[in-house]
Amino acid sequence: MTDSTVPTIEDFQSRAADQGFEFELARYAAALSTHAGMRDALLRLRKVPLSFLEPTEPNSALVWIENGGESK
Amino acid sequence: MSDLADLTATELLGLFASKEATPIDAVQACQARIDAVDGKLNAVLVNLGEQALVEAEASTARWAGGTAGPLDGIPFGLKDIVSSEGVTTTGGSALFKDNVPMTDAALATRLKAAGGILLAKLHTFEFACGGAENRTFGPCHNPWDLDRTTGGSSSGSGAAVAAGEVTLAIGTDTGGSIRIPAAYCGITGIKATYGRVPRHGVMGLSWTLDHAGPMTRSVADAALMLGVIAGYDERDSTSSKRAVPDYAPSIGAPVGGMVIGRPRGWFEDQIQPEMIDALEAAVAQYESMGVQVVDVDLPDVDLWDVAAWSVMYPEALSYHEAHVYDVENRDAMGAGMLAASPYVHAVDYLRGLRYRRIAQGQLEVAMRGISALIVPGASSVAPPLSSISDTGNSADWLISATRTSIPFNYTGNPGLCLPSGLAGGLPTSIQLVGRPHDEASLFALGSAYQAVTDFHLARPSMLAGV
Repeated sequence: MTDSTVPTIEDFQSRAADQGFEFELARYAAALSTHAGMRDALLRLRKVPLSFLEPTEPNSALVWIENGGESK
Repeated sequence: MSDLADLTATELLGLFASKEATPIDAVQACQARIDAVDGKLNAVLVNLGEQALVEAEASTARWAGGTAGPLDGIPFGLKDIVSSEGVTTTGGSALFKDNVPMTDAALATRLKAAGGILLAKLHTFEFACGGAENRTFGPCHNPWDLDRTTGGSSSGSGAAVAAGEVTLAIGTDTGGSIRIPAAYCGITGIKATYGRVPRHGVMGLSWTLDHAGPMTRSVADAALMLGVIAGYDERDSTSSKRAVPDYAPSIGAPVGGMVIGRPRGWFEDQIQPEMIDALEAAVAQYESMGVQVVDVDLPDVDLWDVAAWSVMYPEALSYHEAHVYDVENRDAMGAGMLAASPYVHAVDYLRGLRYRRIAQGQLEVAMRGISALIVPGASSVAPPLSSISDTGNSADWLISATRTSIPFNYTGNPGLCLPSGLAGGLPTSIQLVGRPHDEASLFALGSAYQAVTDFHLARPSMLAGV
């Protein structure tokens, strides 16, 4: 079954243009291939619940590193 | 006596101390090696031999006067994304070919203060984006096979250390750019804990994932060099304020009874069989040394990987937004990467940053009771230069090549890459991964391995007769 949510080259062209970028046509196809290769993992990643109540803001990762890899 | 260009920093320092050689001898030996081989390698972008000789004379005087520093008289090179006062720092790009910084990077200042002698600025792929080519400066060739890539993006650092052009080099690593060229070129490289080495003065690619660190010929040298360059610098807000330990006692420390974890799965799938064979041999070597190797479970590393790329793409685009207009004049890998960057949604970028703490928690659980993980140093031996496409979707190659390295840029854990043998005449490697700020355990395990193996002493055949 085709995943209808997979972006198309036209989607990528539109998104790039919206940010003021324009690439040769082959670049969009290459980018699409790259992102398609990671799509399944990305969809799984999106399903991982991120806590609203526990601190998971980006700096919490730096605190863990500074603590020597120990949750405190 | 061996050619001084082939010795480690630790060996050279011993010779300087015993007055059997001087820093002048060492600089001259490395300069002679550059003259002999760099026409084939193209690892050196700027040769500072004349200035280095002047500094070697001063260093020789310090040794005579008893005031030598911890790296006094050791010739080193800097990847050319690391700022050097008064010396061009190109980022490997035509856009910066005339860029002359007014100040040294923090780590360069520390190397010089320790007595190190900057001999060369070294080749890099454009803006440290990985790949194989460099249309501005030409390709860098692997000393083990000139038709193969050094890996990168610390291409010149890998080749120059392997070939004896410099004794020590600095590389940088956003997805594996210290460890991959170390693996492909048969040298030792460490990506220390995120924040351990300040990034001030180092051109950025992804501030969440960027690291700088040593590329050397032995674990002892890596420990020595890291001890010099590590530590807080107020000009890098992410640098760690933790005290820098003395790594010297770790070298040769007993490892019997230590436990290493082996996470198979992601780290051993899609890996060249020769690299798995080398890993098995290294595991057997450690077990013969009284180290226990146990399987550990890290089932979600594919999510770490996609999360890391979800972070890298937007941050790289943010750094290089002003260069996108001219993307077709950039080298293939960087161009492919930038052209693939505008499609990560903001919420996915933020998810990548927030999920990082979850990935770290998984790693924390997996590493309970063990000192380090062991994984392949790279997904393959050095591939042919011609196999890495210079057009089309070279980003896919990069994603594959970083498979065993980028997970630890993402979590921030230190990774030590060690030569583990030869397969078809090309170096294989292993990577030891430690807890954050526990480089000492990696140095103990790595130096123990190099005490009973001689893989790090192997030299490319192109050096025979040089």
